[in-house]
Amino acid sequence: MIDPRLYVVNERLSRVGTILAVASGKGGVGKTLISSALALALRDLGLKVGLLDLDVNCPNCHIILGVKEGLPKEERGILPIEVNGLSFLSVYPFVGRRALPLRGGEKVSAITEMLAVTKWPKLNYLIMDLPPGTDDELLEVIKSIDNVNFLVVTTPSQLSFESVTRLVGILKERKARIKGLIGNMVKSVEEMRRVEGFAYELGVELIATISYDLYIEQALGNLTTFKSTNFFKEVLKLARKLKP
Amino acid sequence: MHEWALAEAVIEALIRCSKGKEVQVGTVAIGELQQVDLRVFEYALKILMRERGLKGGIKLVVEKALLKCRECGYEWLWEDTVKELDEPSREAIHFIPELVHAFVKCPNCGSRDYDIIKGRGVYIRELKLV
Repeated sequence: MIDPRLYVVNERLSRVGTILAVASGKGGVGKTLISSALALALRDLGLKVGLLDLDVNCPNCHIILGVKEGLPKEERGILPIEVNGLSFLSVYPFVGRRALPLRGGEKVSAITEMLAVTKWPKLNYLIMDLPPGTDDELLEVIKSIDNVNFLVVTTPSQLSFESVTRLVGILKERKARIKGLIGNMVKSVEEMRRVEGFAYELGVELIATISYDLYIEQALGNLTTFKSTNFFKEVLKLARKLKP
Repeated sequence: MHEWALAEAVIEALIRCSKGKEVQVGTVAIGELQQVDLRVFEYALKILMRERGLKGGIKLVVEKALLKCRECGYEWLWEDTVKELDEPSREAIHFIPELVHAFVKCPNCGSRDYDIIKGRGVYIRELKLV
């Protein structure tokens, strides 16, 4: 049996300049917020940007972007939804808030389908928001996508360090490209030092530290408010650093 | 049409798997769950084969979709469920067949924890090269 979808994944991504997969071994560290904010920030810098939410069980990027349920258009494949200047795709437009409890193989197959039939336009950046952990979604992205770069997210917590160490171990073993580590929800200089020390131990560049933003939750669902947060401003600094 | 994207994938796979040899016949299975429009898919294959200079024949075989519940072990056919679904739900499953879990529950126990045993989507079942 030959799965033909695997033969077109990289062709579908061939018009994308840089692919950045935002990953973490730990949940709740801010991957989705960083992915969405980074996509919006790069867009604000005048770049063409796509955002692909690869969390098929529990997608969330649509909340930040204000995407409504409704099927995307077709044109010899699925066309990403155009929203707030971004090209966006996730399972949310298809299933809304219905539960989608997929197990391993089917989760991988759903991701493969999205990668194989989505016709991305010409983009400078495609940001992929991965679910937490080191299993199906991560392994499939490493296996299927040739030119993917990983942005690894951690908080200053020991628990996060432990999980991220495992994630980086896998990425290094598989010779995946790690663009950098992002220390998120940093509350003090002491925590910043802790993240710096962790990045040094990992042997990964600390590409950004982002302060804990008490008001981020209230800003969700309103893009103007979201972009006025300190969180977004710090992500914008990261975007400037990444801009070619 | 989504069928074109799937046809492109089949042709690309045939070209790469045949490694320069001629394809005598390729059998492509089409799982019912994906609800592929066979006429469009067949037409797309024909056009793409010509464009890519691929000779040989492609045989299409439709595979019935079978689902099996992990909770109670009940097995059922997609064709028995599909009638109860509205057009947007069917369309979502057409795009990504695994989304069936969001729209269909086990008819016996109501669980969404089931496997797609067969008939999921498009794959190359057999490839004979000359």
